Amino acid sequence: MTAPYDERALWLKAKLFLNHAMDEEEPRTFDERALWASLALELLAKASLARVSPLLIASPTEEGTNLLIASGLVEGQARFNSVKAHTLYSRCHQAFRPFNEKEAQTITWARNEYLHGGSAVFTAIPADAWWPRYWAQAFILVNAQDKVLEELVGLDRVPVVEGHLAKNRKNIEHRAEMLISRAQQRLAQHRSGDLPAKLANKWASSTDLTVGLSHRAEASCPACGAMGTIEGEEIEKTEPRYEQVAEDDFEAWVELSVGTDYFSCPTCRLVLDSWDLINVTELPPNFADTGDYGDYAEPEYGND
Amino acid sequence: MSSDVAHSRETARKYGWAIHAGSLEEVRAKARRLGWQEVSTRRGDRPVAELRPTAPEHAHARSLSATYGLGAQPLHTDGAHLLEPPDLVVLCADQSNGTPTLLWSSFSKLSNPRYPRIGHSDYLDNGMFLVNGAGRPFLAPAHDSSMGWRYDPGCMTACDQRARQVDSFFREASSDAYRHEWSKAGQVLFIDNRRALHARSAISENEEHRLLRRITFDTQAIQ
Repeated sequence: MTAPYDERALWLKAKLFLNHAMDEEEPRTFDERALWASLALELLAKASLARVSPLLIASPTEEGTNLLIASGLVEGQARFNSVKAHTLYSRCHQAFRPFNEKEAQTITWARNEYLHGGSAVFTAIPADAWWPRYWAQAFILVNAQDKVLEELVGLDRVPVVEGHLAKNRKNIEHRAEMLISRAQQRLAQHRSGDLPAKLANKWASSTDLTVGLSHRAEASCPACGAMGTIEGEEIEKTEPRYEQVAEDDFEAWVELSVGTDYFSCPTCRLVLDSWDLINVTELPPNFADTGDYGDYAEPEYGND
Repeated sequence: MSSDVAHSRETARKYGWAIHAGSLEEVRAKARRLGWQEVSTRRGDRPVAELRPTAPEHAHARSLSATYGLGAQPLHTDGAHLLEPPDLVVLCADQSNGTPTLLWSSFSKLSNPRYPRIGHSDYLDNGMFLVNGAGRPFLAPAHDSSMGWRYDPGCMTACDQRARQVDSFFREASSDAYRHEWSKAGQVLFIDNRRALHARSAISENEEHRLLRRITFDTQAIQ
């Protein structure tokens, strides 16, 4: 009997739902295909986490039934409930960079509205714009399981997905270019005094556009060249450092490599609010910071 | 044809099936020494099954005979409804009979004229079936690179377009299948259940008493 948290069962169900989304001979509208694909995305997220540990998808309750089932301590007919989609996506965001939980959650909201609400269409986004964004997230979850696209959709459908992924990269590049060029234009308007009144008010009130992530550093703005701020939460690497400051006294700290998730410039007001956007500019994908020694675990001991 | 059980197993693993010279009893005895595990494909059944032509009205409700009766059976995997189907099926006819067993494997020139080309279409790996027949239903493709073939339209329902293509593929493959004739008494047939599919042809006239004995093994149980 397959367990409800079995990663292979979740993966195979995602495959089936993607077949429903992609079968060419079936007379399905884009909305119905997107619905199946959105259901597959949630299953891919579950499979990715369950592969690490089924506990990661078990919904915690006071009596802990789901956790007990996921840990194999309770068997039989007990009903297993998994965590909600937004929890899944939040965990995937933390575990499988650069998975974008906002993008995934937008897909799920659209699905819920289509399923449970009166909405006649899945999304207002046209199909040729929706699929590239969908596959950008699904592809990350395939990689997270150390699998390749061919295993998910079959070799014959890989070119279709790769087409969407290429388009997504282009879309992101275009969006970054557009944001940069608009920031340059805005700065020029501000300097010449041509900013419309509404924008001028906003300009005057929004000098600090940082979002308060745990780590930050300075970086040159890709739009105006002034100094802006890069911020990040995720630590990619840690390196302990020591310095002897007196005969019996050492100072210890940890050098951190932090993934860049956000950039803002107080001069031209450019904001790039995702890893995807930052990654297609000249901004660094990660930056150095220091942390307290006690906050970061020592590297693991090994018998080498 | 070999009388060495391990050799016949290897031949079946390589080409899909092998004709073995010996008796079922001798195969069972040697299998025990080799550590092969006898498995039954239905809970409560004995590992050695007697296969007789059965009309639908007398057949077990969940069986190929219930659907196909004395007609030709579709190509299938034995125990396809199990999470881990047995990997070896051994059939034995103590008496000759005129109803052949069809065999199909992409690893045999006899059923795949293009062998050693064994490439196959994407739908075989990616069409999804609902497998129903032993406890909780589960999803599975007809082919998996790590497990091999799993196909039985008696317990597997096509869920998508690709799976329906798989159904058509195996319906057509029946006509290319090799016909093993049970023309001599005491023949034993080894079928690698992960590399080959098999089927009984339509029962020939006056063959209502045809009897095959079947035993299924998990030969990788201790490996």
